[in-house]
Amino acid sequence: MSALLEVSRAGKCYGGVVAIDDVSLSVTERELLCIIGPNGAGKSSLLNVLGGTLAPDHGDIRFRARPITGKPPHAFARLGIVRKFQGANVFPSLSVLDNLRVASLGVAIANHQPPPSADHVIRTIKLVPQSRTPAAMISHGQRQWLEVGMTLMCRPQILLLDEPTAGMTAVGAMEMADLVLALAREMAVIVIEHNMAFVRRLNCRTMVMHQGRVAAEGAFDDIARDARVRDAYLGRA
Amino acid sequence: MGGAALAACRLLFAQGPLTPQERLAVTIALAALAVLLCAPAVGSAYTISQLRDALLLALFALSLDYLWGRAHTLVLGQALFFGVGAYAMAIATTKLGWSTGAGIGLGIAVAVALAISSGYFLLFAGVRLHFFAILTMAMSLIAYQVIVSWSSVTGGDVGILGIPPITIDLFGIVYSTADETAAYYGALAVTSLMLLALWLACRGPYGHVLDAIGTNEMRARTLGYNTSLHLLIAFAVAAAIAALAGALYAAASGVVAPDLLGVLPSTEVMVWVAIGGRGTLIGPLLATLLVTQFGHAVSSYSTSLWPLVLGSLFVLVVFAIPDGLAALVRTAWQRLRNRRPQEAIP
Amino acid sequence: MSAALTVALNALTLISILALVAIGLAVIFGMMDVINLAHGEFVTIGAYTLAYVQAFGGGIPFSGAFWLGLLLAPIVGAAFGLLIEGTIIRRLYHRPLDTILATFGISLILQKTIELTFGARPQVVYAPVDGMVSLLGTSYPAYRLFVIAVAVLLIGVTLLVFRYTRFGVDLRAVIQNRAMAEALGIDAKRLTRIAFALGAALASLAGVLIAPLASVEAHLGTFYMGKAFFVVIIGGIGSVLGSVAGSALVGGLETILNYQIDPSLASAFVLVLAVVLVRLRPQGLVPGYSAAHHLLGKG
Repeated sequence: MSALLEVSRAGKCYGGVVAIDDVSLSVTERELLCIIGPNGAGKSSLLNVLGGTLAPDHGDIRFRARPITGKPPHAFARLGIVRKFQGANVFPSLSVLDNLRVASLGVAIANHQPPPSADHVIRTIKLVPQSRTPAAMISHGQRQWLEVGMTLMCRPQILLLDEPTAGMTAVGAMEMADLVLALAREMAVIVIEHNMAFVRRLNCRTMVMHQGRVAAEGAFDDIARDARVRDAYLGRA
Repeated sequence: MGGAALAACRLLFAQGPLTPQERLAVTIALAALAVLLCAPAVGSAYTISQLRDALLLALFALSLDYLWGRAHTLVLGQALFFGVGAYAMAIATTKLGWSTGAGIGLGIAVAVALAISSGYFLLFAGVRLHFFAILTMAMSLIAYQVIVSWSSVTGGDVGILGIPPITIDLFGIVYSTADETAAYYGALAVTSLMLLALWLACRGPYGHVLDAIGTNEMRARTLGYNTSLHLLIAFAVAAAIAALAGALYAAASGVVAPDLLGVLPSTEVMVWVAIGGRGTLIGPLLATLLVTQFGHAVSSYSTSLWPLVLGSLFVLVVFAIPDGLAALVRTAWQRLRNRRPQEAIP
Repeated sequence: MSAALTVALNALTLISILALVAIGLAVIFGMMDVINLAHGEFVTIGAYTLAYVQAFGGGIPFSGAFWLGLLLAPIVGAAFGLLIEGTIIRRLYHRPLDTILATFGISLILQKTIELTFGARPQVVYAPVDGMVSLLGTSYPAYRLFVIAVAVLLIGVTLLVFRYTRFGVDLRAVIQNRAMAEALGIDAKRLTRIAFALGAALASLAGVLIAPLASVEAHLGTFYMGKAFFVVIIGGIGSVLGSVAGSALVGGLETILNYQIDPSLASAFVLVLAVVLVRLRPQGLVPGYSAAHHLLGKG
C-alpha cells in the first residue's frame, strides 16, 4: 500500500539543541500510529513538522506523493492533515457549538465543500448539554474532547493528536482510546501519548523516540518487551 | 467561482434568531434612531450641523470598532484613512474637477490601496497587536507631515476650502447636502445602514471566525484559515469605511485641514470606541455622539482643556470601565431581568 | 570632504540622541512586553527642566545652570518614570493594548499640563558652550560636538552595564525568559522599576542635550518618540546594541536624505524601509531574544 504521508530524514535544531534528528516515517490510509518517548524526545516537534506549524531545517514531507514541505499550516489543514494541540487548545470566548462551527468552516469554504454538521460530532464528544456554554467554562477534560471534535469538523484524512488524554480520568482515557480506534477505521491517526494504559488499549504500530531519533519501532507488544525502550524511559542511553 | 464565493458568503453571513443580548442592542438602536429622526424638529440649525458631523464621526468610529472590537486588531492611526478620504474628496472636486461621487470613490480606492500595501507587508510578516498598532500610528504621523509639506496639492497648513456639497439627481428627484436638514438625514441614513450592515455581517459565523483569529490565531490557522488574509481584508474594509466617513465629512463641512489626520482624531476615535464598548458597534456609535457633544461643551469653555480631558478619559476607561458603557448597560439590564421574577412571587 | 564631515557629524548628533531615547524604550519593551507611549514626554520633561533651571536666575544664565540642569533632569525624569510605572504600567501587566491606551492618555495629559503651566511659547534655553571648533579643515558648532561626546559616553556606559554587571545580566535574563528568571530568584518587579527609571533618566538627559538645538515646546518629545519606535523595531526589542544600530540606520539615513529630498518624504522613506525590514528580518538587526518577538513571528 502506498504511503499517505511520508517524512524522510527531517531535522530541526533550536540553536545548538537538536529537537529532531533525521527522522523518517510514513503512514498509510486508515493506519493508526502511536509515538511514545520521554519528555524532550522530540515527539511534539515531530508532530509540529507533520502538521505544518514547524518547518524542518532539512528533510522532505510528502502527502500522497506530493511535496508539501514549507507550506503554511492552513494549507496542511486544507489537504486534510489536521492536528490537535497539546493541552486543549480551543477558542475560550466561543460556545462549544460555535467552536465546532468555526472549525467546520475554514477547510470547507477553502475547498468549496458544504461544511459537515456539528450534530453528530457533538454527540460523539458527549458535549450536547454544554453546547451553549463558552469553552472557557467547561472542564479541562471536556476541552480535550472539544478539541478532538474540532479536528473532526475539518474532515481529516490524517489526524494528529498530541496527548489527547492529558488531564483526563482513567475512564475518560479509555473512552478516548475507543474513539481513536473507531476513527482509525475512517482515517489515518498519529497519536502522541504518555499514558501507557491508553497506548496498550490502542495496541497498534508504535514508534519510540529518544533524543530526537527513532529508537525503536514495531507492534506494541514487541515494543513493550524491548529493553531499549525501558532504558529510554529510565533515562539510560 | 462566483457560485463558490456566494456559497462561502451564505455560510459566513448566515443569520440566526436574535439572542436576548441582541434584542437589547436592537431596542437601544431603534430608540436612538427615533430620537435622531426627530432631532431636526426640535434642534437649532447649529445643533443639527453638529449632530451631522457627529454622525459622520460615528461612521468613522464604526470602522475602528469593526477592526478593533471584532477583528481584535488595534490601529492607532485610523485617522490616516479618514484624512485620506477627506483629502481625496477635496482634491478630486476642487483641483481635478471631478464629481463628488468620483471623489468618494477616489478616497476609498486610495485608502484601500494604502491598507492593502502596508497590510501585506506587516500582517503577512506576522506583525500583530501593539506592533501593528504602533506602525499604523507611525504611518499616520508621516502622512500628516507629507500633507503639510506637499502644499501645492494639499494646501499645506491651510488645507483646502470650497469643497462642493454632494448632489444626486435621480430621475428628476434632486438630493443635495447643501440643504442642512437633507445633509443631516443623509448622514443619519449612511451611518445607520453601515451599522446595520456591519452588525448583520458580524453577528453570525463570520464574527466567530474573527473572534477565533483574534483570540487564538495559531489554532485558527491549523483549522484551515488563512488568518493573515482575513485580517488584511478586515483592515482594508475598515480603511474603506473610514475613507467614506472622511469624504462625506469633507463634503459636509466644505473644508479639509491637516488636523483631520493628526494624532488627536486618531486618539478621539479610540476613546469613542473604548467608552462605547469594543465590538458592540452600537455602543461606539452612541458614545461618539455623546462624547463629541461633551467635547464641544468643554471646548467652548477652553479649547486647550479638551486634550487634557481626553487624556483623563483614556486612563479612566482603562481602569474603571475596560469593557465600556455597553458592559455597564448589559449588567444593569441583566440584574433588572433577574430581579423581576422574584418580585412577581409574593 | 569638509561637507561630508559636516553631514557625518550632523548624522552622529541625531543618532546619539535617538539612541539615548530608544534604549529605555527597547529595554522596557523587552522586559514587560509593553510599549510606553509616554516615553517621549521624558525628553520633553528633560528639556523643560533645563529651561526651568536656566530661567531661575531671571533669564540670565548663571554659569553652571546648564550643568545643574544636566544633573537634575535625569532625577526629575526618573521620578516621573517611577510614578508612571507604579501607578499605571504595573497595574496593566498582561494587558498590553490597555497599556498603550493608558500611556497614550498619560502622554496627552503631560503634554497639555506642560503647555498650560509654561505656556505655548517655545522656552528659551542656552547652550553651555558657544562658537565653532575647527576640525579637519571644517568648522563645526562646539555644542554639537559636546552633545555627541556626552551621548557616546552615556551609551558606552549603558552598554557596559548591560553586558558586564550583575544588574545587566539579570536584566537580560528577565528579557529572555521572565518566568525562568523569577524562578531563579531574580526580583523581576524591582528590576523593571529600576530599568524604567533609568530609561526615563536617559531620555530626560537626551532632552537636556537636544534642548539648545531644538524648539523647546510641549510636543518636543513626540518627534523623537516616533523615530525611536522605528529604531526599536528595526534594531531589535530588548537589545541595547540593537537600539544603537537602529539609531545609526534611522538617524544616518534621515540626515543624508534630508539634504536630498523634503524632510517629510525622507521620514516616509524611512518608514517604508522599516516596514520592509520587519518583513525581511522580524527579529531586528541585533535580536534581544525578547519574548515579545512572538508578535513578530514567522507569518
